[in-house]
Order: sequence, then structure tokens, then C-alpha cells
Amino acid sequence: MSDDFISALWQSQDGDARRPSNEDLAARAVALHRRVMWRDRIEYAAGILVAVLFIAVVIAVPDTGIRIACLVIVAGVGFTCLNLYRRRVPAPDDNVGQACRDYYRRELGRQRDALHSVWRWYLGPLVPGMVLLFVAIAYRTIPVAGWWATIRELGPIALAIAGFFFLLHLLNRLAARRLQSTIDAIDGDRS
Amino acid sequence: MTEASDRRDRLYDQAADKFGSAIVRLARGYEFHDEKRRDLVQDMHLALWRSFAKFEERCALGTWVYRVAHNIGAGHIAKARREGALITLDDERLVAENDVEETVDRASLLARLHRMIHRLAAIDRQVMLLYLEDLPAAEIAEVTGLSAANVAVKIHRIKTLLARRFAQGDPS
Repeated sequence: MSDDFISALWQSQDGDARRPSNEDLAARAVALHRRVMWRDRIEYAAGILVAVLFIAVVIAVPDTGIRIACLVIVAGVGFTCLNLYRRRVPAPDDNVGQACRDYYRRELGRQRDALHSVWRWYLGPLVPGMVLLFVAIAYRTIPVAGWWATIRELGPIALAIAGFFFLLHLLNRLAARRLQSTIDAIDGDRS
Repeated sequence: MTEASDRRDRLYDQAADKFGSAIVRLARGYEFHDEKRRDLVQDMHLALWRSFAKFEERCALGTWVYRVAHNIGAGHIAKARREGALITLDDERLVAENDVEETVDRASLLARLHRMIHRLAAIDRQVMLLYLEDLPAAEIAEVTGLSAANVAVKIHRIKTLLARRFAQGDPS
């Protein structure tokens, strides 16, 4: 079976394909915009919910240390949301007419860099406030319950949260490494 | 309407009329499922229409159209995060696969061709799809940004692969 036959077979498909109307294109643009906005709003809504919860703690708990820690967490959430906003891919993409290899490599690199640095721009801003919160709670409980009881109560929770953060960081680093393998394959493909 | 938007619409009309079928075929190379493929075709057309605002006619219209369509397609498979499972043109698994169907009617041949294409990593898939559209090697190089030598090697692999995978004979 010749290549010409296979090419002809391939090109025999979709000969009656209709182009979208201008109304279809406009509707698609709106649908895409809404999808992106919806995804962004879910992320920002989660951030707002967390911020509201910790502001409620600031109001309810009459302890200066805990209040400061909660306010630092709220600031961290705000910073994370700002980073998410800055990292969103602007539409339309001005580079979409670039040669395919370069475009694909650039997109993979952008995704890799975002995943590789998730510790810095997504998880990291939350850490200072979380640490302060545990210190503030320990500062209140140690005089009352003693060191060992405080460690026994707070230790597992702190370890679980730290473990969760570390797992997220690890998963993102693994995903970044997979992308790097693909980038390396593209760069090495000079046969 | 401004002159710029008139120009964009005019270029898009030319592109959609001339390459509309090719765009749908390209989308088949990136998505199996009918509904998702229809969405992908719409995305390709939308990206193409928007892109003509930046088209400076430094390349042929067809080159631009294929670049935009393939870039949207590659983004689609990257989102599906299957890149790690995809293989290159020189992978023996492309030839070693045992297709269940023995028949050589048009539909089953196309199905086999689609299955093979869908196993390919993004760049090799782009070269394969452009080759099947009968683009000359020089234009494939311009669309993909690969060197002429690299395209020549990939085309050689494509010809070998097609000969080995579809050696059963012409169904007509």
C-alpha cells in the first residue's frame, strides 16, 4: 500500500467540513472566556473562604499572638491569589503563529517553571502565618499543660500539615521533571 | 469596523475557505471523541481568526494556518497530560502493535491510521499530519521550525512506518 494511497485516504476525510460562522466564533470566544473566568473564580473563592475563616478567628479569639498569626495567613492567601492572577495565561495568545516546535517548547517550559516554583509562589506565602499560629498556640498552652502535652497535641497536626505541603511540593516537582524530560527530548531531537 | 479588523476578517475568510477541511482533519489527529473534536475545531478557528491581527505576511498563508492549528492541537494534548505516554516515530512499538482487525476496508484503515497517529508525541505527530496533507518537506520545516535535515529523517521514518504498518494491500 503506497504512501500516496494513505495520504489520499487521509485527505478523503471531511471534504464537506463547514467553517464556523462569525456567530459561532463569537459564541466560542465567550464560552472560552467564561470557562477561564469560572476556573479563576473558583480559585479566588477558595482563597476568600480561607481568608474569611481566619478573619473570623481574629475576631473571636482574644489572643494577640493568634490574631497576628491569622492576619499573616490572610496576607499569605492574598499574596498567593495575586500570584495566581499574575501567572494566568493571557488570551488570546500572541505567539500562536510561532513555528510549532518553538511554541510547544515555550509552553512546556512555562508549565515546567510554574510547577517547579510552586513552593515559592503558591505554598510558601502560607508558611510564615502557619508557623506563627502554631507558635502562638504553643505559647498559650505550654504554661498551662506543659511542654510534653503541648507537643503531643500540636505535633501530629503540625506534622500532617507540613507533610501535606511537602507532598504537594513533591507532586509538582515530579510533574515538572516529566515536562523537563519532554523538553529534553525536543531539544535532543536533531536527527 | 477598522481597517485592521477588515484585514483580519478577510484573511480569516480566505484561510477558512481554503483550509477548512484540513483543519478538521488536523483536529482528528489530536482528539478521538467527536464532541471534544468539534470543540477543538472551534478553538482552532477562533485562534486562527484572532491570530490574523498579528499576521505580518512573513510566511505563506498556509504556513500560518498550519502553525496556529497545530499549536492549538499540541496545547490540547498537553492539557490532557498524556505526553509521557506518547512515543516517537522511531519507536518499534508503533510497528509491533497487533491490530485486531484483519479487514482492509477504508473505515478500518482510517481507524488504524488514527490509532497510530494518536500514539505519537506532539512534534512527530505534527510532521506526520503535515505529511499526510501532502505538504512538501520545505513547508513542513517552515511550519514546524525543524531543520530540513530533521524533517527529511522524520519523513523517511514515516514512509517506513506506513509501509510496515499498512502492508496488507489496497482495499480497492
